[in-house]
Amino acid sequence: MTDRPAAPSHDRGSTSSAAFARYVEPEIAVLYRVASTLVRQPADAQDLVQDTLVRAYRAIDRFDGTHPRAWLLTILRNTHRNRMRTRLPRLLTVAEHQDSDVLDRGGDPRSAEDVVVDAQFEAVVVDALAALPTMHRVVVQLVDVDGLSYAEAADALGIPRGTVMSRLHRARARIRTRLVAAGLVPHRSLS
Amino acid sequence: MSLMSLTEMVRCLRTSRALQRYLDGEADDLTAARVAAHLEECRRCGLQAQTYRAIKQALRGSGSGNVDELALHRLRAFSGSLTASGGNSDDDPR
Repeated sequence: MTDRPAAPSHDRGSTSSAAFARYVEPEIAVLYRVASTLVRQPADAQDLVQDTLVRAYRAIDRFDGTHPRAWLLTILRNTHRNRMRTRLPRLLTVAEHQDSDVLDRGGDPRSAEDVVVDAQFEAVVVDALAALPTMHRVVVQLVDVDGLSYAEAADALGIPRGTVMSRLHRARARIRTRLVAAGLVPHRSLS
Repeated sequence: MSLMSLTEMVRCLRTSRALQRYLDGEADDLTAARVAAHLEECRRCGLQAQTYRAIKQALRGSGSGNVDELALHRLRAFSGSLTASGGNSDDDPR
């Protein structure tokens, strides 16, 4: 939050490092999750986060300490965009329909029937997610899988918050439709 | 058509519009209270909310096993090397 002033430019090394440790390092796991959503290949996600960290370090003196996650997600998004510009355009669309998620649930106290129904439910949801148009799938992943807020997802993607909301709404409605078709949730006419 | 009154219909539509924000914890207090009250009294909307909650839960569960701790460890080490070297990491991209 804003309880601490911006890192001053004098005594740069130690001050920058302290600001970096305070604002950036706690967000590395979030950055990696979001990067994994954006690029899907683990090695690319790591490279993207590394680039982001370097850029964040260089800019930390100018950061005012307000909303570090939003600031970092903006850097991540710009870094991602720059990286994509230097690559083959087709790379962005490769493997969009690959579903690398593995359902790996440990033992739990539910009945066997509940476990099967839950597994079916989850399988349909995961399939439906993979079948969504990329722009919708990415928003769902950022909010529901990675746990970002609407504002954070908007920062990560460089789109308005309202667009995040509308994409999310449509995407979840499509997932629900798949569940209805699979007979896993009741069909209801309204909305 | 059912015997659903116009008022009930409006409440359902209003709830439907705010439901995603409510479930994501993004609705303001007043809207959240209004939606919560309606979900208590309307079975139709209550079921819908239940479905979306289950979808969110399934999505969250599908991603929970995918955290690559080794990758995170590498990134934290990289971050540490950045601060130690004053931003001049060997892996410094572009």
